[in-house]
Amino acid sequence: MQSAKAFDVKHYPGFLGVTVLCLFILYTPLIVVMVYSFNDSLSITRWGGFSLRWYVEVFNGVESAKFKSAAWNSLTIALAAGITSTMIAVAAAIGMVRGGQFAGKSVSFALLSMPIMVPEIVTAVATLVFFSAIGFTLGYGSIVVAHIVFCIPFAYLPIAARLQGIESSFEEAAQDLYASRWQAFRHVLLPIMAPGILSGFLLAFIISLDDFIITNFIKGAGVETLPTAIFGAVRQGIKPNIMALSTLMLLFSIAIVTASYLIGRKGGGSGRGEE
Amino acid sequence: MNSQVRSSASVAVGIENVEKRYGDFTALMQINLQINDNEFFTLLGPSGCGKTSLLRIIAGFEPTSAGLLFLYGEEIENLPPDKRPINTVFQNYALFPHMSVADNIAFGLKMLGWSSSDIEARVEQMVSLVRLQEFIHRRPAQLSGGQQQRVALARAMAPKPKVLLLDEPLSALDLKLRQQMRAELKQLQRDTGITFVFVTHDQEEALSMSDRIAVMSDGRIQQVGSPMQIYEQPANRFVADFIGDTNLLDAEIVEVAGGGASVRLGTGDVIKSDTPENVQIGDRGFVSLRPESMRLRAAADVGTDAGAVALQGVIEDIVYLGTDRQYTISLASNLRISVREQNVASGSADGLHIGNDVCLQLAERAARFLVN
Repeated sequence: MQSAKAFDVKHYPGFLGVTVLCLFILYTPLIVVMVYSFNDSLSITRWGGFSLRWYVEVFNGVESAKFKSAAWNSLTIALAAGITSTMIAVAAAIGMVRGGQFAGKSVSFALLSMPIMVPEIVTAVATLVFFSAIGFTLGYGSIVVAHIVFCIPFAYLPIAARLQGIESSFEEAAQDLYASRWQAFRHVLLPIMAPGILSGFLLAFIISLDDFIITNFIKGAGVETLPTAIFGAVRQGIKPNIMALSTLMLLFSIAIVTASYLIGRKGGGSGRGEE
Repeated sequence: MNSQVRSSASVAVGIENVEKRYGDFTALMQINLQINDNEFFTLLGPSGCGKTSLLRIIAGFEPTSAGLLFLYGEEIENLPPDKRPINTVFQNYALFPHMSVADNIAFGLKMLGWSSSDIEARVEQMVSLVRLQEFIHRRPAQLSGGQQQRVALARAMAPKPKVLLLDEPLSALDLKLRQQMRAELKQLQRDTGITFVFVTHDQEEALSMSDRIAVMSDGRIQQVGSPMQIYEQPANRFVADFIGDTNLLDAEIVEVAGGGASVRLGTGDVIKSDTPENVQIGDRGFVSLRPESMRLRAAADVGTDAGAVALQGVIEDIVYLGTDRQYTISLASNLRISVREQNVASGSADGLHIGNDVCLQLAERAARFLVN
């Protein structure tokens, strides 16, 4: 017993203290923002009682029109970028996982996942320079294109992971039963991959929704997404309605990420076709 | 091979000089086989012998590196799997996890464009054939291994293939179920008249179900024949050793007469032996002696019919196996041989104890001389 306990990480000295410290550093700011979003006071540091007035203000206040159009932009851009990048990622995953060995496979993988590693500010500057160079008008369209590009690796990773867990005998069985390659993909591989695809889409969607740096560089004049709108509002001083808006965004993100996780996990066992 | 064989209606699958190479590795060399119509044909061999590669070539999942492939006289090596009227039962079954039993079985029929009423009737027929009527709406994950196996069979047989390929379909089942499925498979083959090509590494499975067996090793076919031929007249040392238990002893031909020969063993004893054709005095090789083809007698009991005694030795070890006892006998010149005697109530094991002197009597045609 003694020695078993000694090797269990939960019994290392200071385990509890370090855990609590990490959780504190990670989550206290978020909790403060959430709590003060319900503060019935203009101050962002003094508690003045519980109220929902800042949530009402988000939807009905002077800035509400700006926020609503920004939210609409954010959602439609995230949808367009999420769907497009997911389609590209599915094709890439099938090529990479089912394509066997081909020349340049590791290079392809590196190129696919590199956007995650490149500092976002570099991508932002590069994209701005490139769009200006080719004369692409900055605005809604340029945001969608840029988002599609940086969402691809985020959509790719869960989809490829899912596909790796699916034995190729499913597609072989489909073709053996007179399905063409397309029918085997459409009726067998795609439904089995679906949880991975959905989870990749949700990840891409949330990454697009949250993006600030790249969007801020290439959005052009007059087009705002929710993150750039919030940034713009904060520059004139933090008002409690920003905290309410941030809390709403946080909850929405948590919901999407949780859904993505649950869907990915639920489908996890069925790829083998056995219990 | 000649074109007459290719086009003959009695040959379901014709394989001519087929080779398969993966880079530098040659998985199949110069395979020639004719699998007959309505035959239960088994490809038997240890893992890595090329039997699964050959099956995948027939199914169309792998291209050949060289050679020709015929289905009832028609060349098919350039057809993709969905254009071959051949279906496969996969080792892991590969049932579609997102479809019910009925949808799995109907899949091939839908792809072939059957009408929905025909599909419904055929699915009904198939589920009753494999006795899964109550499970028709379940998903594969809700079925036991044996039930999944039967769904896989029903799915593969529903489109009425000309040839059914089975890739070690019983290997995932436990022993009792495996034995039961053997009988069911054989029955199914007889009832439907479909040509079965069965892949296995289990020689007992192969012997008990097949009309003919091709024994494979190292990418080559070692022997093709009925189970009895394979067991009793192995073509070479590999086949004798792989199928069942046997004793392999160095031997040299000392006399050739009629259909048989006399060979001298390492012990100095000379025994009668079956041989392949065209052996000559002085040929060296092995003699295969099946453990059950010899009788043990305590040396003290023999005396009068000493003429039937072939070999003499001492019991070194006895292993009790339930129906049988297995004796290890040490012969002259440090050779060992294993002999199996049935346990019968009459006490046949009297006088057979470790350390006793014994005589070995050989049954008719017990010994088989092999050149390599």
